[in-house]
Amino acid sequence: MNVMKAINKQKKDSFSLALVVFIVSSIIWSVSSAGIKVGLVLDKGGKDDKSFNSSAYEGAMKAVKNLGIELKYVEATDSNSLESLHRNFAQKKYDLIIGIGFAQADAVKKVSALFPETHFAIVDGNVEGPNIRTLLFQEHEGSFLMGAAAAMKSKTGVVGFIGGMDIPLIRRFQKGYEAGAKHINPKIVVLNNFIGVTGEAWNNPAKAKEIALAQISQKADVIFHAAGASGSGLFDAAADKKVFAIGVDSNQNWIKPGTVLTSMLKRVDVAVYDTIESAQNKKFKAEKALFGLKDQGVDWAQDVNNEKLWTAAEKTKMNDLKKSIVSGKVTVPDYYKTK
Amino acid sequence: MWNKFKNFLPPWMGLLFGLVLCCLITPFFSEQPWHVFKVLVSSAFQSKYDFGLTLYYVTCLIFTGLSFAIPLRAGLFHIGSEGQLTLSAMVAACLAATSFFKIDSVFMNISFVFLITLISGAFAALIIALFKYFRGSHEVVIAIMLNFIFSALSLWVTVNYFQNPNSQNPESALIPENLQIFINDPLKIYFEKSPVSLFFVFAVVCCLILFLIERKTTWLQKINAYGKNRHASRRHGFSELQILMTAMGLAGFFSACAALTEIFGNSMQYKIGFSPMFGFLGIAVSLLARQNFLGILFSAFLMAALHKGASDLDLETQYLTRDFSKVLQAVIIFSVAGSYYAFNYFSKKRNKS
Amino acid sequence: MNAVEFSGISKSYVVDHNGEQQHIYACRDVEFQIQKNTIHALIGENGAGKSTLMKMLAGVETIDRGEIFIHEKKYQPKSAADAHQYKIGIVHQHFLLAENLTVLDHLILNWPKENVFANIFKKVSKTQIQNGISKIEKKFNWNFKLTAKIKDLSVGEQQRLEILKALLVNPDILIFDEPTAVLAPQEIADFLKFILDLKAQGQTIILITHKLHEVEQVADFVTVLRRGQVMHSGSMTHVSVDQMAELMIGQSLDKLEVTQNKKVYSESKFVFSALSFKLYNSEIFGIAGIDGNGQSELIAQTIEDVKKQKINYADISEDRLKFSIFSGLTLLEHMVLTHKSKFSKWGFVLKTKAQKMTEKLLTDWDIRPPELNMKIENLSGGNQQKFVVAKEMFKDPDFIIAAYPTRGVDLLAQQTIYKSLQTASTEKNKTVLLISSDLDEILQLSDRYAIICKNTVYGPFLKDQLTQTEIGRYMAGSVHVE
Repeated sequence: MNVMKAINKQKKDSFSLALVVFIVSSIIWSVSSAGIKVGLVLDKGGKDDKSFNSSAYEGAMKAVKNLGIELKYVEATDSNSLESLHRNFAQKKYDLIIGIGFAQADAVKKVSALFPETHFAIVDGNVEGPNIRTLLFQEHEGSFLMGAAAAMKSKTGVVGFIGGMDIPLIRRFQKGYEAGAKHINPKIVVLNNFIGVTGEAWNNPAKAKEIALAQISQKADVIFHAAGASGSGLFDAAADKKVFAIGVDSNQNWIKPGTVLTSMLKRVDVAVYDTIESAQNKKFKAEKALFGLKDQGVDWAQDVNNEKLWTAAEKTKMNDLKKSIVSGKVTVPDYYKTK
Repeated sequence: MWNKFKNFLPPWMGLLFGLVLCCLITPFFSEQPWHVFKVLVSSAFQSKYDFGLTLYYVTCLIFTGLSFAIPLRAGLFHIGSEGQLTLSAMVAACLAATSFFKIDSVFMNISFVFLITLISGAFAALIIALFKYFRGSHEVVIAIMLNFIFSALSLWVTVNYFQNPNSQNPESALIPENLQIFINDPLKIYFEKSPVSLFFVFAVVCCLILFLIERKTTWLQKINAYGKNRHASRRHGFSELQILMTAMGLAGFFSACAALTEIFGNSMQYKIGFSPMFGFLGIAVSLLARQNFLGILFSAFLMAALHKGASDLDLETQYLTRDFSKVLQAVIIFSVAGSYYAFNYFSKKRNKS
Repeated sequence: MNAVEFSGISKSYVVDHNGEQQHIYACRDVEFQIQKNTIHALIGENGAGKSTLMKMLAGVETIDRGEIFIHEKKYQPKSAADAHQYKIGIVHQHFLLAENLTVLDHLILNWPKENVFANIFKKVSKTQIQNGISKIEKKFNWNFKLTAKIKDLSVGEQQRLEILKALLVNPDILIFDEPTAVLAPQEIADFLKFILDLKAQGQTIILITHKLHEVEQVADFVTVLRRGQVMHSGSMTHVSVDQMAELMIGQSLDKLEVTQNKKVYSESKFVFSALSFKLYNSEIFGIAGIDGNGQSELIAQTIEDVKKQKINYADISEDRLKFSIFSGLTLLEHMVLTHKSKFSKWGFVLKTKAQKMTEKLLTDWDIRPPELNMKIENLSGGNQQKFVVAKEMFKDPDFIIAAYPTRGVDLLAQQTIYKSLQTASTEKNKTVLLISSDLDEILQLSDRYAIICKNTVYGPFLKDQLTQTEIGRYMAGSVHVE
């Protein structure tokens, strides 16, 4: 009985609090009144995948804070519902709808044609349309840099690559990585493995660990993953066997300091934030936006967690390499083009 | 009149009870109960497109529901529908996409593709019957194994031999345009190009026909009798193999129908993982309807509306996530299922007094 | 002093009759007393409500109306456990045994508990069980093989195990539901002696049966039930067997006419691999023997042969629940299922024809209640058996295999079944293979018979060829034939 009362009281309190917050915030919003309505459609992985989707979610939240936009995000239940989610957002007169992941390409293509007034954006998917902004990343440039880093740090002359799902996007990572390693040490051996061919591959740490241990037994001492949430398996294996691992997408240096050499940053958050900002300022352009090393859309991560692993000379060498890629002095092979 | 009506009452009472229960839970998550109620009930009918999507779910669920209900009459707990629909979806998409039958006539071409698809579904299900008859294996174990095998097989075949070159998704190529005969069917046009198709009409007709067959003919009787008493059915000289094969063959046939609904009625290609577990939702559909063929129509509709409503809750509300809406879905299904028991209990008490 | 007192007991079942619900009474205002330390017989036709009454006493069925007093205390059983507490033991007509367990496992499970937790924490040991049952075994001259599986035991042995189970709790009141229906003649004599022993030890025994001569031999008091109501209750000294039969049936019994002398025999064309000799047309051939001596194998073999030779045969099976009926299906559905060619055309059920014929069959055989759409499991045991026989005879068969056709069936039903078998053989010149453990039945009905013991068939013997003792020796397996 007491407990019920306490809960009721708490409920009342929280209710009145919520009421106050609601009134205050609606006043603020009505004052600023500039916030556009943004719908964010996340893929099956959901906003807590510590990788791709969560990066997009962070970018959108940053926009909520800085730009005062109104955000609503949803997670897809099955691939049939993707289209209906986009459609619902459009029907509710959202100004900008962002789809995360190449799986939504079809849905965005269909729905954008039906709602020409609404702005659409899609990350990683290549869709053309008068109201679609496509956000693409030059993953091969970033992974070239990772390949170079791995070759620099490898003592055995063997490095490894673990891909998530075996698709062209990940092949692009792999090709850049291999070229980067060969750029530093032409004799280096690169071991390549993929976890699977379905969406499950993004969320299978056990298999990633297995592959990592197999590569380590073949003398690999630096391993790079491009496998979303499966990557935690690699970090475990690397920490156990005292070899280096390289993270991907967001900054993963903090996960195992001392083991994670660096991370290849793919700034989905930056891309999402930029898109929202441009729409907010009425400067939205339907175009193919490329994010590369030049504008720091992809980059390598340096922070307190990995600074002891790098000598000043090595850092300089990395940054020089980065500059020469940007300037075009070093050309990075692109799987999409050479295929 | 009351007596006839009474049999239909419990599930509706249960549905109402479940909805109310859901609404009672939601204030704990800082949501407006009335709003949640509205979303759950109305999201299936919001727009023509939404209603069409719901009807697409209904179509698939009717087929998988039938695929479970028929073997259960023979006492088989058939959980292999998911595997069969995966396999036959792959077969249908690959045959159509590569124009396997080099026939000019579209009608003949489609007929052959449908025929082979239905046969492959039935064959996949027959494996269970044969193992059951010759090896005495339990159908559930075999079905689980086959679900894994078919899922892996379809994946391997699709990705390695029929992968859509224009996409990074694991999916087969689109079927050629002259074979996309359902892309402009009347239902699709009426529902604004939503996933629904004429297969919905076929599903309803299947239910009606099966209902009439059960009431008016002897064709399903042996299957039914075998399910009630295996020993007696052997002693009466009914062929066990024939009964098992018929029941499972029909089950596979209907699983394949669900696959055709997806391939020819909706996406025009085979997307790995297109089914949100239709095969297993079908079990709930069938059990809710107590295996009554007409009841399956209604319970499939209930399930589909819930599935749709639950996914929209995520979009329509502030705090209810995708996963929590599954919990609400479960609450409603439980209360519908429990309503029979509760109703029987109360009516018994009333009779006594 | 009364051990049990029934006061105004009623129980009804609801039956769906074309959408309308009707109440069918299994018991109606039942009122009688059972005195302590007596053998009280409860007789009545099948469906008269005896079994229901006893199930209520055992806590298996709920009571709609009325009260039961045990030792003059009010008794409201909610489950079988309550019956245990009141020291009521029951031996059911259909055994409640788990087929795949061994005898030992079964005894461990049913071993009387000191308290709820005893069986969880302490497993009963094998020696403990052997000691526990040896006294009872000796008294009744039984010998249980503890390692045998239940499903390998014969019906008779299974019943003995049930009795043993009931005796283990040291009951004050012991109920036997149709105990002698499955026993061999020698066993019956032993059994009757055994219950007299039990009475001498101070126990109260309720004996449900319809074998009136058994009642006459052992019972002190008798209660006759008909259609759920008490027709008579009182001391045995006041009623004769004939009176009891009349009370039970509501009419006097015709004497069964023995007609086999008029028959014309000719060798039948059927060949059965289980039998080394030929059967004749228009004869009833009996196979006598104690249960579990190979009858089921003989039946299975014969049915296989019959099917191979494509003979139109009627199959009255040895186990009605297992082989003859589909519980969950209605009577009408059973008829359509068995007589597909008669009641369907191109797969479509000829409903009016089927209904009319089935209705006629139910009235002809006096199957009660005559409800076409009633699920078969709601019929009483005797009515089920009558329905099975009726349904099979409707085939107009050339050959009839009747295994234990009257097991657990009341007198009137027994008469009907006997008559139908005789009509088939005399008037229609059909062959009947009658398998039974009831020796009287075999001797009364059959023209020739054989005796089965330990999977060997001895015979054929003519009707008066052997004396009772000789038959007994064959059945016990103490005669060796070269």
